[in-house]
Amino acid sequence: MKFSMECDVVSNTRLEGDIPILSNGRSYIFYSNTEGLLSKIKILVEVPDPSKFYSIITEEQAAEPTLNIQANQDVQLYQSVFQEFQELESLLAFEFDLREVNWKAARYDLVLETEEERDKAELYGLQEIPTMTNPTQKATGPQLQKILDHKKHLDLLIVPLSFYREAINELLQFKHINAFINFYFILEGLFGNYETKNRAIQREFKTNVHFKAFVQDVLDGMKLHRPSYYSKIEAALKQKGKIVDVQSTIDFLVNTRGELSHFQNNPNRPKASPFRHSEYDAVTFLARGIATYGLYYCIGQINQALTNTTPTE
Amino acid sequence: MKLKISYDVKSKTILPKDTDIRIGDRNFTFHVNDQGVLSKIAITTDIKDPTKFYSKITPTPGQLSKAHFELKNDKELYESIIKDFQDLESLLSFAYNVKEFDWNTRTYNLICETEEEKTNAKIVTMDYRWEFPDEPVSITEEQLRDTLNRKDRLSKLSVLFSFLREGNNEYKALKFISAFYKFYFIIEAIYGNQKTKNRDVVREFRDSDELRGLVENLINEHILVSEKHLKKITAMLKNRNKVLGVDSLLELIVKTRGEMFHFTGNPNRPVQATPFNNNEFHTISFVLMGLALPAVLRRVVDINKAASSATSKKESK
Repeated sequence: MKFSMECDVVSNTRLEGDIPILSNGRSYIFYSNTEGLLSKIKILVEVPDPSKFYSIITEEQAAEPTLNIQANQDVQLYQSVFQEFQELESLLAFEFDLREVNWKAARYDLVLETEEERDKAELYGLQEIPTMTNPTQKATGPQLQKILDHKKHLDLLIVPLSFYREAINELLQFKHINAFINFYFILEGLFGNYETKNRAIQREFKTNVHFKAFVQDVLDGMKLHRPSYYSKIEAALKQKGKIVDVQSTIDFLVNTRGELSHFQNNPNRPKASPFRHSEYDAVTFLARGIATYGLYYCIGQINQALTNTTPTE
Repeated sequence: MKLKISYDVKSKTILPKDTDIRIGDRNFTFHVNDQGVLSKIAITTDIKDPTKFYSKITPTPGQLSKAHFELKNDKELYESIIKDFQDLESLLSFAYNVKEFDWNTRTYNLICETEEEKTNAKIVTMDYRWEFPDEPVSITEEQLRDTLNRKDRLSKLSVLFSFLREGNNEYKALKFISAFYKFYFIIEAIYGNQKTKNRDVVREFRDSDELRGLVENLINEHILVSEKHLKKITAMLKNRNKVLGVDSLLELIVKTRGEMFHFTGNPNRPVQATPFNNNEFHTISFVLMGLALPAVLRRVVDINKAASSATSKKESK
C-alpha cells in the first residue's frame, strides 16, 4: 500500500514538464500547468502498516439511511508527509520562487496493491476542502447613495473598518494569525484608550462595561454555536489555571497579541509561525466577534449622536 | 476642467449596472464587469484652479530620456479624493463584500473643457502601475533532486524560511507592514537570544558582531546609494533625534516593531501603521529584508559547512 498527499501550489517557477523524483524511498512528483509553471506537488510513500488505513463504512438503516465513515490513518506517517510538505514549501520558496502551498485543498490517496488491501481499505481517497461562507452581495444605487451620504459621519471608523476588511480577507485565506492581529487592532483602537502596555489595555477593556458585555455575548454564542472553539479557549485558559469568564478571556486576548508579536525560534516554546495558523482559529473567532460588536456599537453611537443633534421639525 | 481618478476594485458585490451618483461637487461612478460585479470606481471632481494642473514637458535633446515631464496637481484636492476612496473601501467592504481596492493601479484623467485648458494641460491621462519585477524562475530535475537531498539537513530552518517566504510575498504585493513583521521575526529569532522586551532585544542586537556587520553592509551598499531610502531612514531617525549608524538603525528597527504592533487611534502619536499607509513603511521593510535574507543565508552556510566537515571526518576514518 502507498499513501500520497497532493497539494496545489502557487509559484512563479518554470518546470520542463512534470518531474518525478525518487529520493530516500519516497516519490515526489512536481507537476507543471499549461503555462509550464510548477502548480502541484505530490508525495508518495510506502505504508509500513496498511491495517492502520483500513477504514470502515457502515450503512445505518433508518428512516433516512445514512453512511457512517470511520476514516483511519497512520497518524505518524501522515504527520511526517505533512511536515515534508512544509519543508518543501519553505525550501523551494527560498531557493526558487514558490509562493505558497494551498493547504486548504490537500488531497490524500491510498494506492492499494493487494487483494486484502482492496477488501479492507474501503476509503481510497479524501479531499477535504474547508470553505468559509462568503456569498456575493447585492448592492443597489440607492444603497450606494446612502453610504456616500453617511460617509463623512463615520470618518472616525474608517481605519478600524479597514482593519476589519483586511482581517476578513486574511480569514478567507485561513490565515488566522494575520486575521487575529487585524481584529485586535480594532479593539485596541476603539477601546484601548490610547494605551499600549498589556496591563494598561487589560485594565481599559475590563473597566469598559460595553466591552465586557461584548466578550460575554461572544463567549455565550461560541458555547452554543461553536463548541469546538469554546473548548479550545477553555483548554487554553485551563492551562493557565483559569476558567472561562470575561476577565480571564480579556487577559487571554491581550496576551495572545503579545505572544504573536514576537518569534523566538525556541523549540521548547512553540510560537506562532506560518505553519500554525489553524491553532489560532478559536481566539481569532473570539476577536472577530468582539470587533464586530465593537464596530456596530460605535456606528450606533454615531447614529445616536446624529439623531440627537438633528433639529426637530 | 475636471479631474477623474479611478481604481480597480476586487469585490463579490453584484450591481445591476454602472451607477453614477453625484454628491456635492463630486461624481462617484461604480463600474461593473461582464459578470455584473463591481470592479472599478471612479471619482470625478470639478477643478477650481486649472492652472495647478498645467504640467510641463521639456524636451531634453541628447539625453537618455527624450523629455523631462513635470506632472502638476493640486495636492489638497488630490488627497481629498484619495481620502474619499479610502472611506469607500472601508465602508463598502463592511457592508457589501468588497475585498480591496487595488491601490497599485491608478488611472488619472484630466477632462479639459476649454481650448486654453487643452493647450496648457499637456499631460491629461496617466496610468500608474506599481509592481516589482517578477520574472519566472526556471528549475531543472537536477536542481529539484539536489533540493530534496538537502531538505532534511535544512529542515531546522523551515520556519525561518517560511517567514522569509511570507515576507517576500507580502513585499512583492507592496504590503510592506506585513512584510516588516515577517522579516523582523527572522532577525529576532536569530539574534534576539530569546528576549522579547525592547530594551533587551536592542542590547542583544547591538552585541551581535554578525548582525552589526550585516547592518553596516546594508547601510553602505543599499541605503547610502539610494536617495529614496536614505531620505526616509534619515527622517525616521531624525524623529527620534538620531543619525544614521549601526546602533541607531538597530534601535529604530526594534522600536518600529513595537509601534507597528499596536493601533491606538491616537492622532497625536507618530505615523501608525494602518492598511492605508503601507508605503510609509517601504524603506524600513526594505531594511529588514536586507538583513533577514543574509542572516538566513549564513545559517544555511553554517549548516552546510558542518555537514561537509562531518562528511570529511567520516571519509578520513
